[in-house]
Amino acid sequence: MKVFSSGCTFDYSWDEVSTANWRKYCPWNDKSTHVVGVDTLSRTVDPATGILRTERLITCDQSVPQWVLSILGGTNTSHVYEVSYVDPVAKKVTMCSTNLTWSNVLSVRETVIYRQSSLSPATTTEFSQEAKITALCGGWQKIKNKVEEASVDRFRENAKIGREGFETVLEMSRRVFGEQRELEKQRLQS
Amino acid sequence: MKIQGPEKNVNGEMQEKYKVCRISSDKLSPITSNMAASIAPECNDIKEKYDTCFLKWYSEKYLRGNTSSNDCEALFKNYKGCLNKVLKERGIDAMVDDARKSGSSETDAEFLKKS
Repeated sequence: MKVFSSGCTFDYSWDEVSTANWRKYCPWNDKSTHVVGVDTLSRTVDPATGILRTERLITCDQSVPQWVLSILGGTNTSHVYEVSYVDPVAKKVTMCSTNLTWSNVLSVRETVIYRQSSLSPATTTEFSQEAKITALCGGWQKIKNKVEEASVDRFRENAKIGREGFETVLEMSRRVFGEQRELEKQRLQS
Repeated sequence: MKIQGPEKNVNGEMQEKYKVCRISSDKLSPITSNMAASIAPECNDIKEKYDTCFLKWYSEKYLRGNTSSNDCEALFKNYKGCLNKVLKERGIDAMVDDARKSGSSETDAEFLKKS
């Protein structure tokens, strides 16, 4: 098993980040064109805690290295199952995702957390990400290592791109929400 | 390892899907549109309606403490009806069931509790 982890701080409030998070893969994000579908499978609010639990299916057209395809077979389209938990009191979003495609040969489990930062809670949000990648295929350890290493490399590259893309969504989101507020104000005044 | 740029990744089919939810910038609104597409193009319209409803509920009610309301229930039911048919046809429903069994009870135990 290999572990990839990273983290950063976004200069946006948790409310903004957790709202924009639902649109992370929208067309505003020009860095996420590999995501071709985001479908909600279920959504419930726990009456005792107020925690919002959502199951989603994320579909990607990922460029997989040719040599991986030749070992694992299959196509470039892959599905990811994601369960997320929004705790509105603690101001924390946790998203756990796992790969559905090639799950018999490779297990990728990722946990992403967005939480209100402790230093300046009103204006910044902490992001952390951890992925556990395990090659399950029988056979040579060498090949397993290679598959795991390539997956971690890919994860690292995508994490950077993902952050940049999400920044764009956050920026657009803030701008558009601001414009909306402005419009409402004008409407109220007239 | 090289990452393909967006141009290379966008094939004809994807552009078609993106067109559905891309709207001109003068119409941009935080609560209407600009959502990701569904994997089932025939569900895009109802999905867009549901997503829009959800985002409005999330930002205006849920985050302000009104967690018990469920404004978008009817839209979600329609969207799910459309989506489930496609998931079944493509065999994705079985994959999802497996993933549920192997992981989500663990994460539920950890993250559904009061913090």
